[in-house]
Amino acid sequence: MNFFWKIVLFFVAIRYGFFEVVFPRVSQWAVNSPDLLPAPAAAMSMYTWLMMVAIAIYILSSEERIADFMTPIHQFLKPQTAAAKKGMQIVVLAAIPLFGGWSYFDVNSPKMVSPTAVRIQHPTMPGSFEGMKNPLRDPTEEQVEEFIAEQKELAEEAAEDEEMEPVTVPNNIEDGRIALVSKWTEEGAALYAVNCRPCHGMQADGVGPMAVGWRLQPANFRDPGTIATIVEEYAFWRVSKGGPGLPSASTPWDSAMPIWDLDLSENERWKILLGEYFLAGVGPRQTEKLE
Amino acid sequence: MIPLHSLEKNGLQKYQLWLSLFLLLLFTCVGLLNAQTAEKLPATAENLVAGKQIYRNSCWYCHGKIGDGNGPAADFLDPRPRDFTAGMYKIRTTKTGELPTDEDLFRIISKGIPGTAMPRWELTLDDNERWQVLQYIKAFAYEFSDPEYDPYKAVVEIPPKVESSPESIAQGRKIFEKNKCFECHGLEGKGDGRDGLEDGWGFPVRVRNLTRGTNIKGGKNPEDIVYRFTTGINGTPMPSFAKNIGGEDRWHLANYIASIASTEYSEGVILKAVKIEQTAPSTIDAEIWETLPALRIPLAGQVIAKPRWQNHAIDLVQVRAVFNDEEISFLVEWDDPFQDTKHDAEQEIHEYENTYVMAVDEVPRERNVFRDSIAMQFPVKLKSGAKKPHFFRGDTSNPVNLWVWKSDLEASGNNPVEDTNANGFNKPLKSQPETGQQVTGKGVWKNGRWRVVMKRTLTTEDRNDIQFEKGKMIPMAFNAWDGSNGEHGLIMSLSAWSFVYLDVPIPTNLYGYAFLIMLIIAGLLLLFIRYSRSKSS
Amino acid sequence: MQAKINRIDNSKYVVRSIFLLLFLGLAGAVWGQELIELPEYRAFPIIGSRVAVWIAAEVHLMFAAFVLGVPMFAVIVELIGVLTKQERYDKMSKEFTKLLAIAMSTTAIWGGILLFLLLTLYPRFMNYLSEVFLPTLWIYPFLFFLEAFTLYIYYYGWERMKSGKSKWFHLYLGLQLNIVGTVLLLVANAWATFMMTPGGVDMKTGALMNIWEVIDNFAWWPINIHRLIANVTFGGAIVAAYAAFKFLHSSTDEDKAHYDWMGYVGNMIAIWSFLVLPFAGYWLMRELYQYDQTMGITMMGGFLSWLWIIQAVLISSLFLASNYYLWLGMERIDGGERYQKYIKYMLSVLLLCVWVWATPHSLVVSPEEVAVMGGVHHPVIGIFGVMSAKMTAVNFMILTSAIGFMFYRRANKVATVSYAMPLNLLQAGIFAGVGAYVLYLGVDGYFVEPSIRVNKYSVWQVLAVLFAIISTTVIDVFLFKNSESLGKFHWGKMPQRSQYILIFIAVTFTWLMGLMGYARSAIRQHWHVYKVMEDTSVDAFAPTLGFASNVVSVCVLIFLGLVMFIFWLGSLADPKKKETPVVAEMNR
Repeated sequence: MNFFWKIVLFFVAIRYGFFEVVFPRVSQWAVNSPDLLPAPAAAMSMYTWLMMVAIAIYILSSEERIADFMTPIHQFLKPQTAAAKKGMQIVVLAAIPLFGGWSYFDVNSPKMVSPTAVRIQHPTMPGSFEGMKNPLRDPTEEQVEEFIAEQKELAEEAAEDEEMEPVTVPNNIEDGRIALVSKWTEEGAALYAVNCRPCHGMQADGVGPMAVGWRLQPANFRDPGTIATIVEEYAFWRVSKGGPGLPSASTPWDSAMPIWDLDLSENERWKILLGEYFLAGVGPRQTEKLE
Repeated sequence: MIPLHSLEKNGLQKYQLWLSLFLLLLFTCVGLLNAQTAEKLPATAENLVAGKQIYRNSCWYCHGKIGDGNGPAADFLDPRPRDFTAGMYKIRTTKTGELPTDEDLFRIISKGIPGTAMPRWELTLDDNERWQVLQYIKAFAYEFSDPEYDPYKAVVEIPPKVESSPESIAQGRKIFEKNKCFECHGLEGKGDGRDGLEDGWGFPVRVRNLTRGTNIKGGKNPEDIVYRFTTGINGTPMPSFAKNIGGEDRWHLANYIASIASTEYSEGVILKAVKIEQTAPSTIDAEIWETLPALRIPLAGQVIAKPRWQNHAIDLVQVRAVFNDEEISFLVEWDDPFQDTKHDAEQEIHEYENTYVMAVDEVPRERNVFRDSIAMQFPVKLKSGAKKPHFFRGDTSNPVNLWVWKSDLEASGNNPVEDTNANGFNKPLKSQPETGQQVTGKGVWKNGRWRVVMKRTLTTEDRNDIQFEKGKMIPMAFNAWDGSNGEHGLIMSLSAWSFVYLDVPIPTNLYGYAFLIMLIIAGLLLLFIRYSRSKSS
Repeated sequence: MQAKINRIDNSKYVVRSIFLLLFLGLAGAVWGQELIELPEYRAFPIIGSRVAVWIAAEVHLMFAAFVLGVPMFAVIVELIGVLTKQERYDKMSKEFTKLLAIAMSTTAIWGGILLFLLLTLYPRFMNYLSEVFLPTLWIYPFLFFLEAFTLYIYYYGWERMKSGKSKWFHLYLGLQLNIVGTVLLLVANAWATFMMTPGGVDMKTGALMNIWEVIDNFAWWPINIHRLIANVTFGGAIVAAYAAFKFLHSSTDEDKAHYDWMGYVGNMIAIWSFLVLPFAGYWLMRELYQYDQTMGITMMGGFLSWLWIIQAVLISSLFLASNYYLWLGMERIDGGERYQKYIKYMLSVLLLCVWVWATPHSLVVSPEEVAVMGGVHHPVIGIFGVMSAKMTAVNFMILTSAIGFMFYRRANKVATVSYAMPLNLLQAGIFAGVGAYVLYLGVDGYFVEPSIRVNKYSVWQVLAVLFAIISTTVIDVFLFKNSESLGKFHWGKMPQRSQYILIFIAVTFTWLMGLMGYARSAIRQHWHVYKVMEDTSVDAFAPTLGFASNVVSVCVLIFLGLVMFIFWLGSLADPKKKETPVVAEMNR
C-alpha cells in the first residue's frame, strides 16, 4: 500500500472506525449504559479537525513525504488512454464537485436540528453566599455540652429499656464534637433521603426515580466534577436558590432544582449538605488558605 | 556504539516487544478483575457487623433502623419500602408464601426494582458489601434462621424455555384472555381492570401497566416474567398460576407480556409537525394520525415546589402534530387505567405539612374525586438563542401559554380546552377571557388510554398566545393529572421542554447556490489538474 | 541614507511630543483633584468609552511587551557574541535592537493615547487612582526618560562602542535598559493589579492607608513574574516573525541563512520561555483564588470558562506548530534524517494530548445528546474535561517537545564516548519514568482531594518534567563530548512554509495575550477597583465572549499592521551594500 492510501486508511479508521463504532461501544460498556454513547457532534468535529491538522503536519514535515503523498495523485490525474482507467478518472473527478454541491445543499437546507446549548456548569455565586461556613461542621462548645447531657439521659433510659440500643456517652468535648457532627450528618442524610433522593438518588449518583423525566439530568454527586470541586457555600447557594437562581448562561429554564429556601430552614439545608457529602463519599473543596 | 541509533536497526522489534508486554499485562489485569466473581458470604459475626454499617449508611432511610420499613422517607413512597421483619418478599423464585433465596435477594439488591424507589446498589456497593448487607437484612426476620422455612426447598421449577415467536405471542394472548388476566390487568395490559385492590399490609395496590416495560418490577424479560405467574407475588392479589397454566403456556404468556412491554421513550426531543393541504383533523379517528411521526416524552412527578409529588401515575406522553396554512392539530395520548370525569373542588387540598405529599391518607387517591387532565405548554414569546421560560410554568418575566384539557368539561359537553397563562409556579393558572379562548379539543378514553386532540389557528391576535412560526424550534412541555391517583393542582406530573417544528419546504434558490458551488469546485479541480499535468510532464 | 536620517528626526519628534503629552496629562490629573465637581464619565463616540480604552490599553500593552521583552535577550545575545567572538551574534543583537528603537516610539504614542482616553473618559476613576498612586506617577515619567535615552544611546552608539572597553560599557547600557524597563513594568503592574486585588486602602471609603501595600498588593508579584516571562516569549515570537518576513523577502543565500537562523533563535526563545508561562499563570490563578474565591470561580467556572477552551485550542496549535517547525528544521541538518521516523510517534502523542487538552468539561450539546448522555457531560470524554487530565496532557506535550528538541540537538552528532549506551538508556529511562509518574499522578488525581490535586500533584508533575528536561540536557553534555559530526547545519535551506509557521506562532501568541489579558481584566466585573470603587457607567456589564474575541482580534490587527509598518521602516534603513558574510561562520 502506498503512503497516500495509508494516510486515507488511517483517517477513515480513526474517524469512522474508532469514533463511530468503537468509541460509543466502549463508552457504553464503561458506564454500563443502556444506549450507545457516541461523543457529542461538537467534540467529534473538534477531534476530527485536530486530527486533520496533525495529518497535514505529518505529510508536510518532510519533502519526501510530500512527494510520496502527491505522487499517486499526480499519477491518477495523468491523461489516461485505457478505458477502465479513464472511466475511473472521470467518475472520481465528477464525484468531487458533486459531493461539494451536495454538502452545501445539505448544510443549508432547512432541517430539524435541535438547538445546541452552551451551558456553564459553575457560574459565579452571588456575593451574599460568599465566605459562608457550614455551622454544623464545627459545633460550639455549648452545643456539644448540651449534646453530651442529652446522650447521658438517653443512656440512662437505655439502661432500663431493653428494647433500646445501647447509647455511648462521649468522654470529652472532642469526642462529643465528633459524635455530634456524625449525628447531624445522619439527620442530614435522612433529610436528603426524603427531599433530594427522588432526583439525585439514594446513592447520590444522579439517577433517582424522577431523573428519567428530566432533560437536564440531576447532578451526580459522586462525579469529582460536581460537589467535590466546589466549596460548601457554593453547594449551599445551589440548594437554597435552585434552578431559577442560576444566571441565564447556565440555562435556568432547564433545571428542575427546587428553590429550597422556600421550604427548608437554613439549618436543614446545611444539614442536608453534611448528609449529601457523606452519601457521595466526598468532601467539599477547602478554601485556599491565606498566607 | 550509539544506542539510539543502534536501536533504530532493531527498533521495531523492541517496540513490538514492549507492546506485547504491555498488552499481556493489560489482559492479565482485566482477567484478574473478572475472575473476582461474586462469592456468597456467610452470616458470620464479622459480616453482620459490616452489613449493619452498610445498612446504617445506605438503607435505613427508607427501611427503618429496625428494618420495619418505616424509615423517614417511607411515608412518601408508593409502593411502601419492604418491612424486613415480616419476612414476606414479592419477587422470588420460590413458591407462594415462601421466603426468597439468597440469590433472589441479592438480585433485588443489585438490580433494584424498576418503577420504585429501590435503586441498583451494584452501582456503588461491591459484591462483598451487598452480600454483607443481605445477611444483615435476613437477620431482621427470624424465619430465615429456621430450617423449616428453608427457601431452597421451595424453589419452583421452570419448564424449558420457549423462544418468543409470533405464534408463541398469539398463543400467549389467548392464554391471557382465557385465564381472565384482563380482569385486573386490563384488555391491553394497562392495569385498568380493577380498582380498590389492597395488599397484605393494608396499603392500596395499583396494578402495574404492563405496557411500560421499564416499570415492571420483577424485570421485563420473558425469563423474569415467567417467574411472576409461577411464584405469584406474595402479599398482593397476584396469585401463582403454576397449577392453572401449563409449563409451556406460561412461556407463551411470558412472551406475550414481554412483547407488549417493549415501549420506550423517543430518542429525539423534536416533534415534526407535518404540513397537509386538507383541513386539520379535530378528532382522534382521522386516518392521517397513523401516518405521522410521534414523539414520546418522559414525565416526572412534580417535585420542584410544594406540594411535591413523587408517586405520579403518568410518566409518558405521546404526541403527534399536523398543520395546514391556517391551523395546527395535536394528538396527545397517554395511559391512564381509569377514566375520571368528575371533579370535586371541595376535596382539593391546599395545605401541606411536609415538603412532599404522603403516599397514603393525605390526598384521596380514589376514583370519582378528581378529573383526568392534560396541559400543553408553550412560551408566549419565542426568545433568541437557547433562552426559554422555565419549563415549570415559566417565570415572572417569561410567561407561558397552557392549553388545559379537562375530562370533566369533555363529559359535560363543553369545549374541554381552556386557554390559560402562567408566569411562575407560585401563581395559579390564569384563564384567558372568553374572547381569547381559541383552542378546541376532543378527548376519548378507551382500554386504559386517553387520546386527546387539540386544535388552534397557527396565529392569533392575542398577545398572550403562542404564535406558531414555520421553520422555528418551538418549545413545548406537558403537565398531566390522573384524577384517581389523587392528582390535582400542582400534584401532577410534568415534562421538561421538548420542541415542535413546523416543517418548511426547501427554498428554490438553494438549488442554484449548490450548483454554483459545484461549478466553483469543478473549476478549482481543473486548475489543479492542469498544474499536476504540467508538473508530471 | 536619507531615509535613515529622516527616521531619526521623526522618532525624536515623536518622543518629545509624547513626554509633553504625558506631563500635560499628569498635570491635568493632579489639577483635576482641585475641582470639586467632576463628571463621572464621558462617552466616546460610536464604539463607546470602554472599547476605546480597551483597544488603546491592549495595543499599548502589546508594544510595551515587545519593547520590554526584546532587550532581555538582545543583551544576552550580545554577551554571547562578545564571549564567543562570533560576529553573527552581535549582528543579530543589533538587529533586534533596531526593531526596538522604532517600537519604543509607538509604545509611547499608544501610552499617551491611553492616558488621554482615561483622563477624559473616566475622570472620577482617574482622579481616585492618581490620588492613591501619586508618588509613582512622579517616578514613572522619569523612568521613562531614562529608558528612552538608554535605548537610543544603546542603539545609536552600537558601532562606536563596538570594541575594547567601550563594548563592555555598551553591554552595561543594555543591562541598564533591562533594569529600567523592568522597574517601569513593575510600576505599571502596580496600577493594574491594584484594580483587581486592592490593598493598602480602606475597603469602605477607598482612602489611602499605606502606599507600599497599595503597590505590593496581592496579585502584584504573580503578575510581575507572569508578564516578565510573557514579554520574553512575545518578544521572541515577534522577532522570529520579523526574521520570517525578511527570509521570505531575501533573495541571497546569505540573507536567507541569516534570517533562518534569527527566526530559529527567536522561536526557541519564545517556546522555551512559553513553557514556563502556564505555571506562572497557574500561580497567578491560585493567588486570585486566595484573594477572593468568587474571582477564582468566575474565571475558571463562570462566564469566562469558555475562554479556556479557546485558550486550549490556541495552546494546542502552538505546541503542534512549534514541534512542526523543529521537525522541518531537522531537514536542514545532515544526519537529521535518522530521526524522521520518530516524528509519527511524537505526533501521535501530541495529537492525543491536544484532544484531551481541548476537551471541555461541559460540552456543546444538543438536547438529543443530553438525553442520551444524561447531561452535558459525556461519561467518558467528560473525564478529560477536568484539571487532572489537562495537567497530564500539557506535561506530556512538554515532554514530547523536549524529546523532539533533543533529537534536533543531536541531529548531526554521533556520540563517541565509550559510555554512550548506558547514558542513552539512562535518558530513555528518565523520560519513560517521568512519563509514567506524570500519568500515575494524573490518574490518581481523580481520587484525591482537590487541594491535594492542586497544591501537590500538579506541582510534582511539573517538577518531574523539569527534572527530565534538565537531567537529559546535562547528560547530553557528557554524551556528546568530542562527538563526531555527520555534517553541518544548512542555514537557509528551509522550506518557505516553515516561515509561515513562525508568523502563525507570533499571531497566535498575540491573540492569546489579548484574550488572556481580557480575562484578567474582566474578572473585576462591575468594579473599577474590585470591591472598592464600583463601575457605574453604561459599560458596567460583562461583554459576551464573542464580542470580546472580536475586540481582541481588532487589537491584534492594529498591532500587526503597525508591526508590519515597523518592519518596513526597519528595512528602509538597511544599507544598500552587503555586510561581511557571516554564513561561513554560522555553518560551522
